[in-house]
Amino acid sequence: MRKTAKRKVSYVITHNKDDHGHLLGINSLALDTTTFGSSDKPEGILYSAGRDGVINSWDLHLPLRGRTIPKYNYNHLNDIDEKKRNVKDDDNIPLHLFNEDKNWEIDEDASSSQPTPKSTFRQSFQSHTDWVNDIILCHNKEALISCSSDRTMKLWFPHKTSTPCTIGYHTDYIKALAYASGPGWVASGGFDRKIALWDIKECRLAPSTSSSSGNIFGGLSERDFQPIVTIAETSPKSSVYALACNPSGSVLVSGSPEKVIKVWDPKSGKRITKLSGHTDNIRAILISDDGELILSGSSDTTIKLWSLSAQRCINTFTTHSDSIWSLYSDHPRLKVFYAGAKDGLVTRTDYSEYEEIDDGECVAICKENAGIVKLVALDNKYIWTATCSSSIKRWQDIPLRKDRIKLSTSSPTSSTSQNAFQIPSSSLIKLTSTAVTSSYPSVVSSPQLKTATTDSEVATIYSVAIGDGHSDIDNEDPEPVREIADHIIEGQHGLIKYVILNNRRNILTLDHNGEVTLWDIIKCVKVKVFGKCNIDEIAQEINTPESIPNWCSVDTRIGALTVHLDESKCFDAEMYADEAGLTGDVDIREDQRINLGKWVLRYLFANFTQAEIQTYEAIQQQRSLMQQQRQQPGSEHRSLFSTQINVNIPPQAATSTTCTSPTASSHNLANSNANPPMPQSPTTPLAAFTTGPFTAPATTSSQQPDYFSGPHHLNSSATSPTTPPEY
Amino acid sequence: MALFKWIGMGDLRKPATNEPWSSGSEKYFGLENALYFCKPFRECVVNFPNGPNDANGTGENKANEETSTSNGLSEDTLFGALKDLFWKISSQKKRTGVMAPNGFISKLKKENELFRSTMHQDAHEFLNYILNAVAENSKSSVNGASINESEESGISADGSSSGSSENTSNTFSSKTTWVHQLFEGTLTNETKCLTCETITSRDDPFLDLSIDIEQNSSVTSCLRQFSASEMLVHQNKFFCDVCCGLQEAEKSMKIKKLPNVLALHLKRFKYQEKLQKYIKLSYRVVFPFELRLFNTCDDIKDPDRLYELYAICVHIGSGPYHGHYVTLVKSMGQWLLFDDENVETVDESEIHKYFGDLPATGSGYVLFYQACDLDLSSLGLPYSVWANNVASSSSSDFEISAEGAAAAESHPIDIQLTPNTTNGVNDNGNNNTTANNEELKREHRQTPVREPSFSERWILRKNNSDKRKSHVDQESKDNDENTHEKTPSHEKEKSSWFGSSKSNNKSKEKDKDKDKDEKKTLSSLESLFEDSSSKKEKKEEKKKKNKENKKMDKLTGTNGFKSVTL
Repeated sequence: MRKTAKRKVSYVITHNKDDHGHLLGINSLALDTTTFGSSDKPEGILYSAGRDGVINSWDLHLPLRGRTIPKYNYNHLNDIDEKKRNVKDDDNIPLHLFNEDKNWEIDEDASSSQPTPKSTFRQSFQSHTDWVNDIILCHNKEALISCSSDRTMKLWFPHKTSTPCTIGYHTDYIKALAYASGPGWVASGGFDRKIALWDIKECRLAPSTSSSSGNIFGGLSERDFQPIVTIAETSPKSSVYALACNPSGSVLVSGSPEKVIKVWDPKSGKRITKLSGHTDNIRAILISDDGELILSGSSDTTIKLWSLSAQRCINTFTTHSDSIWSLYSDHPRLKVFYAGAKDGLVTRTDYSEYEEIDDGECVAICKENAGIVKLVALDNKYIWTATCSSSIKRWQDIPLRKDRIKLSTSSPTSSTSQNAFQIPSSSLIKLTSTAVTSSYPSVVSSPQLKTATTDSEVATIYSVAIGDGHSDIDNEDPEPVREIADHIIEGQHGLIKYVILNNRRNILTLDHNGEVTLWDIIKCVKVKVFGKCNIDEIAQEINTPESIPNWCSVDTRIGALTVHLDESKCFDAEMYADEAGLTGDVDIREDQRINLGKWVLRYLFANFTQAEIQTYEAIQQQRSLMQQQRQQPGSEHRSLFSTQINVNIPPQAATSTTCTSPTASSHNLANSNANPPMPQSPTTPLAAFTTGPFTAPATTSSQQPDYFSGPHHLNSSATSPTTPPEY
Repeated sequence: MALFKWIGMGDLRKPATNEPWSSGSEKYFGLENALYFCKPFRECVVNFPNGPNDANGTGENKANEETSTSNGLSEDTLFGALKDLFWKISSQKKRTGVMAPNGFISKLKKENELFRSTMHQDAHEFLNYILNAVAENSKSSVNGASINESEESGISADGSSSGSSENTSNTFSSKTTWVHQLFEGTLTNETKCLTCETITSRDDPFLDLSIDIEQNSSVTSCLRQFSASEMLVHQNKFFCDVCCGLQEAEKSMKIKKLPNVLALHLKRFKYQEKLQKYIKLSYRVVFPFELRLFNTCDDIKDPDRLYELYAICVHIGSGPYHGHYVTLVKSMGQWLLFDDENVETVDESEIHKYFGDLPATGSGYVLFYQACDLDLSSLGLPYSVWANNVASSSSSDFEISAEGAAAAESHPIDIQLTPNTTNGVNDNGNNNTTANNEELKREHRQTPVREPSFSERWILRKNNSDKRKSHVDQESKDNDENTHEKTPSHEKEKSSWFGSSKSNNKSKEKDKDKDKDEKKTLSSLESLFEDSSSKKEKKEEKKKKNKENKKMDKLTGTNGFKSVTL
């Protein structure tokens, strides 16, 4: 339940509109390899969600082909039926079909013959007003659900022209999402210590509605959204940091600073059990398709594999020396998984071929400059990493051990560096098993050993990777195999700090790159760029000794300058018109004062009011037409004049027109660049701020007496700026 | 805060007597006792500012003559008054008696209006005040002191060396005085952002730790609670500069630097809304004799530092506004109860009565723990003092020394003696050397015999838990076991020593040997565990020891002694 929100208007001053990268760090990635691109096959789309509240999608242009051989050996599963991938809500569908992306794989021949193309921008949407914390793709990758620190959860159909709409709320930051494709629910967990399950089965775009943000959910109004099940915790440490569920939706697990993994039954919302063992916050959880195995990564630098049936930890991977922040796996039994840590190291652990986990291999693939917040991998060919920097890096992955063997044995000349792959021992990390079965001798009788070819390189791999070679491997600081990224999707530099100057109009900001800029929040322009220097020093230098009430609040949470106007305070500040920087032939009275809040609001809604005026005028015209027609006999169009046209024009509209007419002329201004974003269309970025049901306050949707047309405004109507200030 | 009544206490040298020592004219003395019996504190107080000022006037040094009164600089400060008081106590001929701290108290009243009224005052507030005042006074007196025997002694524990007393820049820069070196520890406030996991910390120095208490808890668990982490979530999120936003965080207070003397203040009061006033919490809070702090930072250099309880300031009373203070002090291994002018011995097994649940006996309010490995040499005290207290160090060197490694022992001492003499009083030179030899010999034999260290006694106690009946017997027995040499000549030497020391008493010259100091102290300590027949001698020794400690003119190259290893 939302309590009545305070009326507040916020606007964002954007810059770099033409560039598409994220402004701040990236919190989540999602990969879509099923949506068809321009050709008759998918080319891969990467969705990225950042701290700037924006969800971007990128065309990857990867060569893909249909998969014929199942990627992993499913002992118990049938062959994949490609045609069945659109089936959704039936619980009888075998497990493997839920992972629809397994149907397309990287075309190896194509990828090896030419360098992988660069990713290009596809779409972007400013969905949230604060950090986006997690995104997931559902409904056969057609829908994207995002959760944010602005406490909302939104659903977006990227391939349609609709805007995201809110489908769920929490009372604090929402941190993690989990999607069960079988039953069709999404679980969200956040800092309000609650996990809520939302039914999104009915999420189909009603064909009748088009681009407006109206009822997307065919019949259901947004306010009806209640979670199916809510799980609530009480202890202050039980904020949810990680969530996972299996595709069939039988098990839901959560991780929190309480250091235990809680296992829930999604149907009843009751806790099944909890798994203790970690000694710090649990930041990432994975669950196997059958719901039996759980892999958890924690800030205590370990990754633990748990068996849910046995309710104990089977193995602890101490492959990292810093907090584990993200895990990724597409193996149904989690036998191959990627881990990203706070120090930026990405490793892949693979024990899919062997009985003993110890016999597996862990290789350090790459190292980022900052902690890996999220990583996704595709087909063991590419890895995309997201950190607190605004760029997404793509890395070339390393083939799995079994694939390396295949490569080396299949190729006649192993001298081609592309096929023969040697992992230096400095990149391999020892897998020590702390499980009970450590009494097993560490000698591995791998069948492949016997087939050692004359290729010394292959032999080297084995002797290093298995058994006794372990002791030689230095676990401290493994060197990643990949030193540089394959491709970088560049981001921009967002604002990270601000200083409000005394005139409450100019703001100094510092961006991620260290650059200091001066802004004018009324004109909404960049006034001056100072370059790289100390923001506080500059502030001291240019600050003027004035005292103006605080009429707005500012923040740079999303990497851009956002100004918030609060109903109670925004009209407190005034300034003399002659100091306001107006130019041109403005006829200003001697001591005329301008109310800053009003000024800003008026121009913010200039287009809107203009549109309203036009609509009203159109109606007036029609009305007069009607009257004319009525005087003529036989008019049946009287009905036209009924209240079919639902335009809220209260009687005071008459006065308001006179007052708002000056704004008509200011309409030109509104169109000049670097303006506060005008609600041109609901789908432009930042439109969410000014349109939509949950953003702008109700006052602006109608022409009822507002602060513009109120008595105090009327008094100064003659003095309101009639000519636009120069930009 | 809450106001507790102060109590006067007595000082007792000999364990066995019940003679009242100090009058409880009014207040505060209980705590003073705890401070007095904090040997390092006492030594430092008494030895401040520039070394021991001659008890009786001129020393060999010309510089000494310049020192006006027996208390060195005639300071009209609280610290001066305290020094006077301590000095008076330690220079008493008798071991027991009553001393009215009038001078000190009148000075205190003058200085601080809080203590001016006739209302009862709080022990912890007093402790805080006195420590800060003493520190202030030391700092300023060092700064303002004219040229003095600081030349030779360089004792000023706050690091300012000789002649630099006029060099204010030197002293101003070092904010730590010996008070700080003794009592000051550092707390660090660590906040960890849960999103980016960056830890921001802020250091806060403290002179004493005030901890909240729970019913039926222990000091250890209260300390754990003190350092428990607090979650900054929901409405009070933490603004992380790395994330540039509000995030959840975990905040905790940990100890970054352990103090040498830990004063633990139990917050035995709580404000009750309903009653609109404070009430006293008579919770049962057990405190151990030995304490290890667990709430330390990860990278602290000595996390397992062991502390031994040596004083308890007890408040008796049902409310926080009135009451009576008594102090329990451990001296020479014997617990003593100071109740205004009454001093009596207390068995260690009775200490548990002060945990707080028995209203009649009162509740422990401020606990004083001294680190077993307290390194006095680092405080810049004179060698004698330091050596005196070396006995208290928790070294296992007891074994080594007991092994009669006289040779081994003597060497270091030898070496140090030499610089001592060179720096020392010229006139005393001869005396020194002769005394040196003599005392060296004695030193050898006497070194092994010393007061068992805190930790040793702990071990002993563990082993001999039954024999706890009489402390004195116990310890002397143990000592005997551990002493390899119990020489008959011991007595002889002692007597001869006493002879000389008696003369020393009068003459300002001979006594001022550091070397003598050590031996005397050692022997005095050891004699404590001898038969009571030598009580008299012991008394003399004790007296001497204290006198010695005050006479600092020889104690010049103390720096050289810091390297003595035992």
